[in-house]
Amino acid sequence: MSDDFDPREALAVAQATRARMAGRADTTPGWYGIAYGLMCGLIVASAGIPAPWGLLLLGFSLCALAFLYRYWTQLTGLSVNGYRKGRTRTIAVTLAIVLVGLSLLGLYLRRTLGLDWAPFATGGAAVPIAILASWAWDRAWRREILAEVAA
Amino acid sequence: MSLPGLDPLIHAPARLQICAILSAADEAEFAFVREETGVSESVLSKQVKLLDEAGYVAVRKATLASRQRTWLALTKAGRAAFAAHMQALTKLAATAANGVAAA
Repeated sequence: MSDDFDPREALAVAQATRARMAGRADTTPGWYGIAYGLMCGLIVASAGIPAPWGLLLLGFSLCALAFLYRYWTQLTGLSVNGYRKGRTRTIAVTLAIVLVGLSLLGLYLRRTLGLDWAPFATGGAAVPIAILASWAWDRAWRREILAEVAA
Repeated sequence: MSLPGLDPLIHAPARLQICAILSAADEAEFAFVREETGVSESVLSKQVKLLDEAGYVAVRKATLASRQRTWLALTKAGRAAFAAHMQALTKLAATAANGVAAA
């Protein structure tokens, strides 16, 4: 290490790298969040739909979600755990709880009250929630990766 | 000159950039890291090899549509070393700023 080493310059290098990275991750197409929301909606609806259609729908939506994530990793060249620590984890865990809650609600309403349309309604409600959560997660991740290396 | 808390393996600008990228994700593609660091493929390979030998970086090769891609990830030791290095840098920068203010 040289005598004229400036820690502020080194920090600036790390910050500039993360800023470029955050900018590049921002190129995720807008339809990604919508597709993610639709798949989450299908998963929620599938819980209340009788077999075999519910299971088929669940299998299809899980596969579609896996392909969607794979597309994102190929597009960005990055692989990021949705449950990484920080605000991103709070958003991901909250979304998971809401989706499970909506799934159980749809199932309960159909089985106990005979409301056959309930799973579709809860699935429909899950779509905008998941879209908003996807966008919020994306923003939170970009903010976090910049904050982690801030002086 | 040796500075307290700084990891000499991470200190070099290219390796600092590599670690800054990899610590923000689970994995990053070799091509992505090359574009973001702005170094050549051979320079990046050398830097990655150094980090790999130190146990800071894990290299994984995956084939997709008959095209091989290389994925890089920081190991647990690499993440801890980078966090400690950034902490030391922040502390040194604050000390330097205080020194300037006091002068």
